[in-house]
Amino acid sequence: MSNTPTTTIGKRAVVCQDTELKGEIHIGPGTVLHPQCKINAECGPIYIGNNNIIEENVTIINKYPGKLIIGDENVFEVGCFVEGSKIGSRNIIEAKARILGSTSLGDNCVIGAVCSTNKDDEIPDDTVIYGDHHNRRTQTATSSHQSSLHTRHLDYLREVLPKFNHVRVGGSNTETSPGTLPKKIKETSH
Amino acid sequence: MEPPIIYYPRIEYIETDTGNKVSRKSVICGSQNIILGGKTIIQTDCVIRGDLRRTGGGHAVVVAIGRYCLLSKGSIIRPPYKTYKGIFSYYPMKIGDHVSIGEGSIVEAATIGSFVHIGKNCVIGRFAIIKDCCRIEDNTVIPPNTVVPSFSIYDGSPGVFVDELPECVQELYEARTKEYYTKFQPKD
Repeated sequence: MSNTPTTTIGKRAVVCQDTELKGEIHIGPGTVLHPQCKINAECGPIYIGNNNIIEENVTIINKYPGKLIIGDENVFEVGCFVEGSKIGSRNIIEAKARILGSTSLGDNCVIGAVCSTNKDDEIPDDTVIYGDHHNRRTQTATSSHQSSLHTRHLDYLREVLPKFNHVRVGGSNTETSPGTLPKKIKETSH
Repeated sequence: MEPPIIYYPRIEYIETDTGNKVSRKSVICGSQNIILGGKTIIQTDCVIRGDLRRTGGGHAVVVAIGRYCLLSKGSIIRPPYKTYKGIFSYYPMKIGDHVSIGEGSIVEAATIGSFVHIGKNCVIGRFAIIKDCCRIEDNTVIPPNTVVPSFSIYDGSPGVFVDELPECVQELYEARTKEYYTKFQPKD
């Protein structure tokens, strides 16, 4: 893992060791980074908010000198690609979806699997992008189901990921440092 | 038409007693929870998430893969998740025999039957069930919870039924995966 001293990790955040972090990155409290994700702050800093889930093979790049600010409780699913200038909160970026150029994303959006945004677009709140032709619609009812699923998912990942991967946990919490890994595996195999 | 022999550098792959060939450049998380049936090839940059196991104690198999399967470059196998009776958990995934998964595909299915061909850059959604003898074309997105019936061809985003396969596909795919395995050979 390439790592510079400018990377900060918030409390209760779980960052796997196999991630690729480049440049100035601030990871907010409670955010979970799966192994094999890439966050590249090559031009400007990347600020990631609270309680996000970033799965494997996700690429987040800041290609502009300004800040790339990502809100809270977003899910970045496997293999998605995010450039953008601003990402709101409670968005779901599905597998292989792409956010291109300096696009900014509102809150409660869903970018469907394999869909992509236009370059340099502004996507309002509650937008859903779906299907073969990247159609758009606005979702009317936002259910509380997703947020309860999300908090449970986070609790699960915070418990399970340190048992099988070498992780760094933010804050003063050191109970799941990589040094305790062999012991943890023994416990689970009984 | 006969496919050519594919050579790979001998040091890149680990060959197990049962004939599985696993690339050293693939990422296998939680390997104690993964079962490979034998003669399965796992190529460069594949990711298999065996660490996302079911909550609760005991030994759990997370990913079970049958014989003569092929996971092409950059494919990702991860178990599906849901909440059931208020408890969040990942659930095990089963893949049958003679299954080939194309380059860059993401699979979060619950079950994949035998004699299945999945093309390149597909996304198979959570808890999808793919029955025996199916073909998923390149760039298809199978939405979550879809059931793909036997002898069908699916294509598009979202994936829809486009055509039927003849009854001989079982023998065809069996021969094809066996041939690929025998022609996937090391070279120094």
